[in-house]
Amino acid sequence: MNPSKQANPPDQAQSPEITPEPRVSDRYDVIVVGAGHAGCEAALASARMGRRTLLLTMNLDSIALMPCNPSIGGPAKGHLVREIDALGGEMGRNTDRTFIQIRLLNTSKGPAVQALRAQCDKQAYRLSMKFALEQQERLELKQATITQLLSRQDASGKPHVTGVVTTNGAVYYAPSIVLTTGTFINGRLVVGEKTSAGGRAGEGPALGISEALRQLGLTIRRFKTGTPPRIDGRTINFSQATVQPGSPTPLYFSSDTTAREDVMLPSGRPNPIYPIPAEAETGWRRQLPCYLVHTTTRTHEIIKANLDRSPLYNGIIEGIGPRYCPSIEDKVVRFASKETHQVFLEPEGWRTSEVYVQGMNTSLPEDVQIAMLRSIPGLEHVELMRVGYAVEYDYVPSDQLQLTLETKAVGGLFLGGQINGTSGYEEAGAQGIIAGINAALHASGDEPFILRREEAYIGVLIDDLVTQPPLEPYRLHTSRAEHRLLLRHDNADLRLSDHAYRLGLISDERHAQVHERQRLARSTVASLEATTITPTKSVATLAASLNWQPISQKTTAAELLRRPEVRYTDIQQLVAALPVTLPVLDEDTATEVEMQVKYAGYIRKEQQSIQRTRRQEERLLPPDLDYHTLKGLRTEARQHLERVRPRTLGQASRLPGVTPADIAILLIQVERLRRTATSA
Amino acid sequence: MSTQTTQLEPQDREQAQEIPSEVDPNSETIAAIATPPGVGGVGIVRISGPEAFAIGRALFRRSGTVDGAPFEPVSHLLTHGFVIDPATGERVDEVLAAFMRAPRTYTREDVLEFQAHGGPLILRRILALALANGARAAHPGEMTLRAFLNGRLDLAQAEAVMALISAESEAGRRLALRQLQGELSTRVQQARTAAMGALARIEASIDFPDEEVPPPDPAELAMLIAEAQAEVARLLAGADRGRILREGLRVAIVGRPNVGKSSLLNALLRTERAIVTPIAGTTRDTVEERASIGGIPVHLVDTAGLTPSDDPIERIGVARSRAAARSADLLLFVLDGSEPLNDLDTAAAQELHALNTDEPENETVRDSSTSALPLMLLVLNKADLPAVTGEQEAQALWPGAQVVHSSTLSADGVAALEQAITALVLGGEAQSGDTLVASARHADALRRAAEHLTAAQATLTGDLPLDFVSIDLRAALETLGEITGETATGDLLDRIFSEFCIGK
Repeated sequence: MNPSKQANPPDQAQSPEITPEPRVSDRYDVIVVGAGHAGCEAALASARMGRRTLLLTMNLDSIALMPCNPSIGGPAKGHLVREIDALGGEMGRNTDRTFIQIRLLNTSKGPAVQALRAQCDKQAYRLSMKFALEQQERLELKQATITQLLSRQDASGKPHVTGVVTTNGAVYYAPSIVLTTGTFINGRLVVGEKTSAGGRAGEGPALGISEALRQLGLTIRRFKTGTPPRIDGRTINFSQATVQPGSPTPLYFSSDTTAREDVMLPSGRPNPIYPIPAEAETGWRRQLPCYLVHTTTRTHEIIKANLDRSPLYNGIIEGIGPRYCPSIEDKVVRFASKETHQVFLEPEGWRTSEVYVQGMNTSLPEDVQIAMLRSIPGLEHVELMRVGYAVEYDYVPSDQLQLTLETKAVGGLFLGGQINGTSGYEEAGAQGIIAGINAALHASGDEPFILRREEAYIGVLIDDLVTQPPLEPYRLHTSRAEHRLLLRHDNADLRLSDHAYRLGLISDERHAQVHERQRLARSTVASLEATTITPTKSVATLAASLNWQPISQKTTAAELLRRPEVRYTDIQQLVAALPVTLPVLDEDTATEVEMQVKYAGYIRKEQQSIQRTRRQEERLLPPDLDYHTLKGLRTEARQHLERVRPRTLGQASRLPGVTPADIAILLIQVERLRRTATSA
Repeated sequence: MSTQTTQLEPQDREQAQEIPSEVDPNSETIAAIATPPGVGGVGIVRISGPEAFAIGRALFRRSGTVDGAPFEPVSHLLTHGFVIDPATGERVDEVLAAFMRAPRTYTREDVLEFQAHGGPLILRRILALALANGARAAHPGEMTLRAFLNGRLDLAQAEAVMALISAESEAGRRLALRQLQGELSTRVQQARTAAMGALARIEASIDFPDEEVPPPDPAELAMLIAEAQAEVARLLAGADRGRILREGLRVAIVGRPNVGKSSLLNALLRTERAIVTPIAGTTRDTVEERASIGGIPVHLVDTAGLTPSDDPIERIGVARSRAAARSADLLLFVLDGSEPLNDLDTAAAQELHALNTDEPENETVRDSSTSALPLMLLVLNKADLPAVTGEQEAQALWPGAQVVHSSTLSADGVAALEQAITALVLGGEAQSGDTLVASARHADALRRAAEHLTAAQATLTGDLPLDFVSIDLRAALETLGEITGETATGDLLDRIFSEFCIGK
C-alpha cells in the first residue's frame, strides 16, 4: 500500500474503537457501498461531477449483475432508463452495448406510453458496466465488505457519517456515503423447506449493516421477492413454442450514439440451439427471439397439491412480496378460474444455454419446480440449471429519506435502490443516479438536486417513496404519474439535459445537440403551420395511396398532421412535389413534432394543471418546523407531517390524512414565520 | 373586528399595508357569493384572480352598449349594466359592476364584484355563470386566505383567518361525514367503480403489455363510462331535491298578463307585497319573496308577463321572467279560468316549452340548480267566477300537468294549491330523485366529473389512442374523489392487481 495515501483522518471521525491506527486508510469525497444497478450509477455520477469517488463491492465479478430477468425497460421502466441516460447515466448505453433483443411496446396505445424493452446478455452487461466504471476518471473500484459505519455527532446531537470500516480493517473516509446494498442486508434465501443466508444465489449476505443503521436511529423492516428457475435450452422443444421476435427497425435506449457502435456481445453467431425463423431475422442487428409457452391444468394441479410445501403458504416466509410480480403459486391460488398462464422463455445471453422462465416465479421445492415445468407443452423433458427461490431481506422504510435520498436521521448518509424497498433494475438505477448526484453535491456543500413529479418519472418515483412509503416492494407504473403525456420516453433529453449539463454530467456537445433538436422541432412545427396543401390530383393520388381520408379543400400541412392516421413522414412525402422542404427528422424529434401538432390541446390542459399546483410545489417548508406546536392543525395531519417532514407544501398535500384545510393553515403559519423573520 | 365582516368588506379603501407580497400569477380565479345567505337589498358576487377581468368582460354588458361592443373597464369605478348569460345572450340581472385592478383590492388580486339586487336565486345564477366561464368555487375562507397570503392582512389577523378556515372546514367536514355515512357515498362509489373499471382496463393494458391482460374492448369501456355518467347524472338531478329541503323550493309564477299572478303571490304570502292593479303589465320586474308552505321553505317569484313588448323596461322584465322560469324548481302557470284561453296564453305556453327544449344545448353553461326540468302546475285562477276554461283545455297547453283551481278572493282559495305544492315536493314526483347532494361544492364536483366523463366518451369515439381516454377518466375520478376523499392512484393499482393476473 502506498504510504502517501495514508491521509490523516478528520479529527471528529476519530473513533475510539479503531486502535491501533488502521494500516489502510484513505479519504474520498463520496463512498458508494454496493455495485449493483444503483451503486454503479451513483458512483459514475459522483465521479463525473468531479468528486473523488470510491465504489466498494463484495465481489468485483458481480458488478451490475442481473439476478432476476434478463430484460431492461418496459412501460415506466423504459422511461426511467431514458431519463437516466438524459442525466448522463450508464444504464441506457450499457443496454445498447449488450442487448440481444429490443422491442417498442404499446405502439398503438398512445405516444406517451410507448416504451422500449430489451433483453440483454447478462454476462456481457456486467462486464460492459465494469469496464465503464474502470474507464471513469476519479473513480476507484475495490472489492471489500464493510462492517461498520463511522459517524460523528454535531452540536445538536445529530449523527453525520464520516467513513466505513471493511472486514479487513481498512478505513475509508468521506463526508458522503451512499448505501446501495440491494437484497444483501440480512438476506435469506428460501427454496421449499430449505433456507440459507444469502443475498443472491451463491453469494453470502451482508450482516451487521442493519445493526449499524439501527444504532444510527433508522428503522428496518423486511420484504421478500423471488425469481423463477433457469432451464437448459437444449432440453426445450422449441417447436411447441410461439416465437416473439425483436424489432425489425433499429431502436436504442441511449441518445449517445457511441454506445450502439460499441457492441460488447461475444463475436460470431448466437448459441445455435435457439431457432431463429426467417421473420425473426433482423438485418440492422442480429437478435435472439423469446419464446412463449403456456401452463396447463396439470401444472396447476401439481402446484395446488404441493402448496403445503410452499414457504409462502406454510409460514416460512413472512415478508411481504410484490403483487405485480406474484409467484406462480399465488397466481394459481388467486386466479383459480384461469386455466392457463403465459410463460416466456428468455435466453439469458448470446452464447449460453441458460433460459429464464418468465412468469414462473416460485419458491416451491426443487422436485415440484421440475414437475410443474415438465407439465408445460414444450418443456416435457426440461432440465433445471438453477432452481427458483425467494429471498427475504432488510430494507429501510423510505419515509426516513429526504427527496435527495439522504436519510433524515444521519447527515451524509444516502440510500439508493432495493435497500429503500423498491424492486427493479431501472428503479434502482434511477435512485442511484439521484443519490450519487446529491452525495456529490453534499460533499462540496452545494444545493441539492431534486426532480419534480411533472418533470420526470424519477421525480414521481422518489416523491412516492418519501411521501407514502410502500407496503410492498415498489415498482414504478406509468399510472403513478399525474402528467404522463408530458413524461414521454422520446422527450427525456429535452426535459432533463439542462439539469445534466449544469451538474456537469453531459458534454457541451451533447447538450448542444439537444438544443438543436429542440430548435428543429420548433421550426418544423412553424413550417407545417405555414405550408398550404391544395387538393390537386397528385395530392389526391398520394393521399389515396397512403389510405387517408380524401382531402376535400385547401388546408395546412399541420391540419393534415392532426388527422390520427397521418404521420410526419407522410407529410414529407406529400410536400415533396411542392417548393417546400421539411427537414428529415430522427424518430424522437418527429414524435416531438407530432405531439406538438396533434395533441396540442391535451398538452395545454396538462400544462395548465401543472401551473395551478406549481406555487405549492415551489413553496418550501422550513426543515426544522415544529409541527407539534403549530396551532390550527388537526392531530392526524400533525402526526403525518412530523413523520415525513415534507420539503414543500405540494409534498405535504400528498400526505395521507392531510386535508386542504390543513394545507391552508400550514400556508398561513409558514407565511407568518416568514414575516416574523423578515421583520426581525 | 370579526373575521366575518373582514371577509365581507367589499373592498379595501385604506392604503395597502407595506407587507411584501408575492401574488401568484398562476393562481386560479375563484368566485363566491360574498354577502350572507338570505334576501338582502343588494347581494355581491366576488370573483378574484388573474381571470377576473376576462370573466367580467364575458358576463357584463355596460348599459347603453350593444352585445359584443368592446369594453375596457376602468378600475375602481362602479359601472351600471347587466349580467348576461354569454351562451344565450339573455340578461340575468341589472347590476353595478366594480372592476378592481390589483393590488388595491380585498385579495390584492384582480377582483370583480357584481352588486346585484335579484335575491339569492339571481346571485346563485351569477355565481354559476362565473364558474361556467373559468372561475372555480372558492374554498371556505379562501378569499381571506388570499388576502392574508398576499400581504393584505397583518400578522395579528392571522389567528382569526385560521379560526375562520378551521371552523368552516370543520362544519363542512361534519356535513360531508354525515353524507358519507349515508347513501351519497355509496352512490358516488358506484360512479367511481364504473369509471375506475374503465381506467383499470386501460392502465392494465398499458402498464402490463405482453401479459395476460385482454386488450380493452371499446364497447365495454363505453358502457362503463356511460354507467358512471348515468350515476353522476342521477346524483346531479337529486342535487336539486336536497337543495330544496335545505334552501327552499324555487317557485316561479308565470303566465300572460292580468291572470292574477300578483294576487296569487299575495295570497300565498298573505301580505300585500306586489302592487296589484287591474292594468295588465303592472308588474314590470320580478318580485321575490319567501314563504313557508306546508313546512317547506319556498322562494316565490312573481314574474312580469311573458309577452313581447316594445317598452324597454318591460323588455327587461320579460327577460327576467324567463330567467326566473328557467331557474325555478316549480312553475305555477296561471290561467284565468273565467275567460276563454287566448293567443297570449298559448304564446306563454310556447315560451315555457321553448325554455325547456333549448336546454340541452346550453347544458355545459347551465347552473347545476337548473339541471332538472322544473315541475309544472297549471293554476286555473279566479275560481270564484263562473268557469269558462276547463281542466282539459288547460292541459292542452301542457299535457300531463296537474290542474289546480284557485281563488285569491277567499281565505282558503289557495289551500288546494298549497296542498298540491306540498304533495309534489314531499311525495310523488319531486321525491323520485335523490335528495342526497346537499352541498354546492359536491354539486360542483359532480358537474365537473360529468364534463370529464363526457370528454372521455368523446375521446373514445374520436379514434384517439387509449392513453388519451385515460386523461379525462383520471380527472373524473379525482373530481369524484373530492367528494369521497379518495385518491385515484392507489385504488387504481388495487383494482388492477385484483382484477388481472399480472406478473411475469
